[in-house]
Amino acid sequence: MRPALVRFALLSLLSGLVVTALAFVAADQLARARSLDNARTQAVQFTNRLAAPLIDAEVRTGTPAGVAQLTEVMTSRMRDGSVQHLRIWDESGRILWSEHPELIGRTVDLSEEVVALFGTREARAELTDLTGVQNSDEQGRALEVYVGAFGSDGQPIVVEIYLPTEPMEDDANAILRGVLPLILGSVALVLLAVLPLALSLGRRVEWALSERGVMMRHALQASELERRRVAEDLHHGVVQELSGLGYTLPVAARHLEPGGDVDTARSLLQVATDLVQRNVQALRSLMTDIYPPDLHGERLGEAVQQVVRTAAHDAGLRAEVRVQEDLDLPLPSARLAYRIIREGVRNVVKHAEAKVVLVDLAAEGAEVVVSVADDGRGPGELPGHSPEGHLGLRLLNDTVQDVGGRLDIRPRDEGGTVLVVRFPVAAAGT
Amino acid sequence: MVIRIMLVDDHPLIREALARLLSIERDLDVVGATGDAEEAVRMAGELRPDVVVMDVDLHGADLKGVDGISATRALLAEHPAVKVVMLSASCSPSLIRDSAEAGAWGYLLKGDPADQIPEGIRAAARGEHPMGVEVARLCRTMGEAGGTGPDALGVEAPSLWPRATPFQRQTS
Repeated sequence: MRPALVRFALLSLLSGLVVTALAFVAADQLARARSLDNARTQAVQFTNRLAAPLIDAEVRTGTPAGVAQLTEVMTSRMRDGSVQHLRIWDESGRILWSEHPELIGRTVDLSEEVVALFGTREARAELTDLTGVQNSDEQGRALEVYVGAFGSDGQPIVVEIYLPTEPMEDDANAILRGVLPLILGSVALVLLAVLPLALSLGRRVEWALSERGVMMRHALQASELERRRVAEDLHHGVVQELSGLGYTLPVAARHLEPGGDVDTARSLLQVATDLVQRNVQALRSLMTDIYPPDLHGERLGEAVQQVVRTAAHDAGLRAEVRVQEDLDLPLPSARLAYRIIREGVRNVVKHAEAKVVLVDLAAEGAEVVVSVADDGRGPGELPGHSPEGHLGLRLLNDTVQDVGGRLDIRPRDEGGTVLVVRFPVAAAGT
Repeated sequence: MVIRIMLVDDHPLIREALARLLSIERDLDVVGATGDAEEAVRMAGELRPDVVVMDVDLHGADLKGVDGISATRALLAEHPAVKVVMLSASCSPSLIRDSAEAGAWGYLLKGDPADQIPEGIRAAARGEHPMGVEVARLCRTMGEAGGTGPDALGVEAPSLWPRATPFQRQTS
């Protein structure tokens, strides 16, 4: 499978998981906040309705009859599970009542927050860990509420109540049950909505990458061909001619010695001079092949004129070159146009058996139109007999198609062949 | 004794220059020159040269025709007594090996000093195996790379014209 899509799927799954986890956390927090509120209300009601009215002087002094009534009411509430633990403190920190009778009458140092509740009707609620709570073997969490109140004798008390967390957990689950389908549904909807876009983006990215790879390969093949041509031109041209020069000069030298024929020496030196001149020209044209000239703006026209006229002159052809005036192409397009013309003229010289080569270069609207025509023997087996000729035009065709253009080779009405290439003016780098 | 020479090279300029170069040597006589492989085989039968100077890249730039190594094989099949000296603008281990296998007697390089051509032709006629400096160097490294060592190849020293060379006539 395509890597971009795999990445997209994994990221989608991951973000879905993150959103779901966040929903769990949020539901828990929401349920906890609501439960603490509920616990406070419940504990305040319990304290004011049930516990505080039963706290009187008898309870404070620990009279068994007073405590017994309180114990009866309290244990009945604890039995149904709505209250887990219960302690009632007076202002001195003495325990007035607990479900553990042995604790009654003990004095404990109360924390500042609890002390501050004496003489008020306020309540503090928190979620607490039951482990470590005095005289309790229970594990897990509970809602712990401290409620400030006044006994029936008007003296301040604080009631410490532990309420079970099950209602809170049920609440959280209820919230999740209500919200989770919505969250997951919207995540899925967003994914579904984004998927076609992601697919098309992925396809475009991969297409662009493979397209770039193809263009790169074509550019490398073209450059490889150019280098091979330069090497072959050197091998079959300059190297041969200079070797001939090397065989000619010693003969001239021999004729300059006493008894030699000075006229022969002179004519051999003339041959040598011509050879040197011809080869300097050949090297100069090879230099142009290796590194094409400046093709910016009007220079393109000059360069085209020169490359066509040089090639035609060397091959004994008449050349007509028409380059549209004030033609100003972006450099990549200028380079491609130049390459097309050079390749076209090369084919005419090598294969067409023509007398005339006609080159046209113009921009028509958003297109560059290049044509190379000749009056030779017609396309026939074009492009060219040799594998190398095929290769040159085939690579050119590849490059033209890469930039969204097209290349045609067809017979000319007047006889001969015409190569026409059209490609967008804004052709990408070639 | 005059050595009869035939030149086979598809570059007319090289043929002319070589013929001119060899014409000033009294003991050398260029009896024929051609750029075509088939023509070379036919001419060798007619002209009976002692030494043929054969261009390795006979087919030229357009890859048409037969290369000099195949031409050598064809020529020696009909005229086994002729000594063929390869002449090329380039040399590589595979070109040298192929030439030797085709039965070539020596391998000279275009661009080396001009007097190596007449000297090489005379050496070949004497039964020695002329090699250009670069060719001799490559032969040595080929021998070392092959693990047989320079002695096995018979190349004694990096001299211009070793007496013995890796060139072997085919037994057939």
